[in-house]
Amino acid sequence: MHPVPVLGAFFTMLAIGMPIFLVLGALSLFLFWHEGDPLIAFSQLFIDHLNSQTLIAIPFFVMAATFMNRGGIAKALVDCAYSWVGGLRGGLALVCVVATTIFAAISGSSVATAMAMGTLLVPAMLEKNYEKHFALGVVGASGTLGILIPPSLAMIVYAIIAEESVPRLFMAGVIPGLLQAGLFAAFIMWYTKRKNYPKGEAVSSAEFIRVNIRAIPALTLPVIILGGIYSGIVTVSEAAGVASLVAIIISLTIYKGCTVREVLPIIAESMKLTAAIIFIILGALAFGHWITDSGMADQLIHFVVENELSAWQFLLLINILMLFLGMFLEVIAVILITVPLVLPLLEPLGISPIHFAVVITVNMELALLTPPVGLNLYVLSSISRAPVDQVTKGVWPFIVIMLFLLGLITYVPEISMFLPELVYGK
Amino acid sequence: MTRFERIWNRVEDAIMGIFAGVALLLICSEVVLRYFSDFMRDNFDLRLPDWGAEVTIYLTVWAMLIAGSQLVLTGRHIRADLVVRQLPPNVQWALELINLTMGLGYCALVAWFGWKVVEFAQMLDERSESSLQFELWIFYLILPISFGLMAVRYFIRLYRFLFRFERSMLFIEHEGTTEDIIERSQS
Repeated sequence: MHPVPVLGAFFTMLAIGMPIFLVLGALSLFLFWHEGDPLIAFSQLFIDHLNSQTLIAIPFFVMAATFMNRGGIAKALVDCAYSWVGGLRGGLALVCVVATTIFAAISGSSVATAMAMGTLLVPAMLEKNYEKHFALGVVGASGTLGILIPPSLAMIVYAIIAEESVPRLFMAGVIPGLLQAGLFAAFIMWYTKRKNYPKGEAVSSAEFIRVNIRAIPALTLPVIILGGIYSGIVTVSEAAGVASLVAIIISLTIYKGCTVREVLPIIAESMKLTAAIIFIILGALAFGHWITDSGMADQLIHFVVENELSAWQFLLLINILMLFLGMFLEVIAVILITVPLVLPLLEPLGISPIHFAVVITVNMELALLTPPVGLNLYVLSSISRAPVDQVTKGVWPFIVIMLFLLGLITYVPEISMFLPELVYGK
Repeated sequence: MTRFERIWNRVEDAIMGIFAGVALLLICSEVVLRYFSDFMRDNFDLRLPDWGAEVTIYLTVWAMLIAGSQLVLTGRHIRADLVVRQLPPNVQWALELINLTMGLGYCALVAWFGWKVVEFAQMLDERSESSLQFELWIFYLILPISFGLMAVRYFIRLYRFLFRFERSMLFIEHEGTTEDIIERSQS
């Protein structure tokens, strides 16, 4: 079937408020039938992709994030960050950036990160008379760090499709992630000074020591995950599992944010959060299967060769395409749909798949903030009961910063490639 | 929500919690036992089973897919409703009807063909490659179960939408003041 009516149907179904898993799945099922493929192959495709060792890292990372949120670990991280930067002008907004950066080094999910930080920090910021849209914008935008700073669910999915090394991909996200956090902090300091926000209350030395000691168990989690993966002791999935177990243990014994009776319900809740992603992944995989079979990848290669596109022109086009798709689709779905299309072009154009993964991930961070399907907007809207437009108003300045970052990362590959090449060689 | 539905939710929650919990213990025990494998082999002639990772996948996939049914019930499957919320209620009603019908049809079809996958695996006697030689149709069974449960939930929602309609079943805009948010966080 010609791509134009398919894309027409696709966007119409999204526009009428159909769940994304249903749009991708129902359309793919129709395309399977239309192309004359046996429909049993459609269901078989689902179960074959689910039977994956790498994919099961996703539920375990979500589980770790859920326990961090519910078990008091996120609160300990926020208190720790407050003791360092809370006394500055716009201190709570800076706390959000710092705490989110640390949380992102454990959770792997931007939505989970925004949810945890939003629950704790949005009410606190409003209480201190921060503008509502600014408070929502800071949390929504900082939450996107969840998929750039390792571990990252988006990078795991990319690794499965592109058959790349997950640890190498994770490492490529470190410098861009810290750069993004730095840019956000700089903007917050400028904005809060311009708006004359009051300085936060500095903590006493005794309190400083107390909250930092209390945060030590929480701070061991990124060490366990990243240390375990890079020392080769555990695989990515095992690291996610171990992080979940440690998060449960310290939630129960140290932070006492949940009880033993609550463990199974919280695990069940984390499975529901994961399921919302997994059903989209299944639909997107089936849709990606149609895209591959439809010869669109060949047409794209033909287009690039015929127009003699250079690497920078190609990257510019891809960025525009993904920003557009990211407005309408969930992050993982965009990756699963576009990566199989463009992967064959990377080597001829001299683009490293690792660098490309970071470009995609920053694009997907933007996708989390751009309406109508910006998941972080909905998370913040749901936490604060503010209309989505108010959250959107708050994230706009951060979107501009991220577009600048995207340009920088796209055209200066060394920012992403420095660490992986330093550790693993070229 | 009826009493039957509450029990149904609790059964699903229990399956999710237990399956994912056991998978968690299994994946962590593999990490620990791997470092004692030489000691166990030399002293007790015990070897690390080769099926740990495989069973972890089965349990995790079952736990994840079972959750789909409650996502349908509570409308938590991710969707873009920003445009639809601006439309008049009667248009919203018509669009939601299309969405629910489509959801029911899609889930029922995937469940049906998922059942065919199970039958096919049984016929071919498909088994896993580990020493467990696990019969794969049991793992595949989650596909018709999960999508079947989602289809039933869609049917229930559709029935209520048509015969017990309430305005809250349409797309709702969140509303809340700054004071609400602070109060909610403190309560």
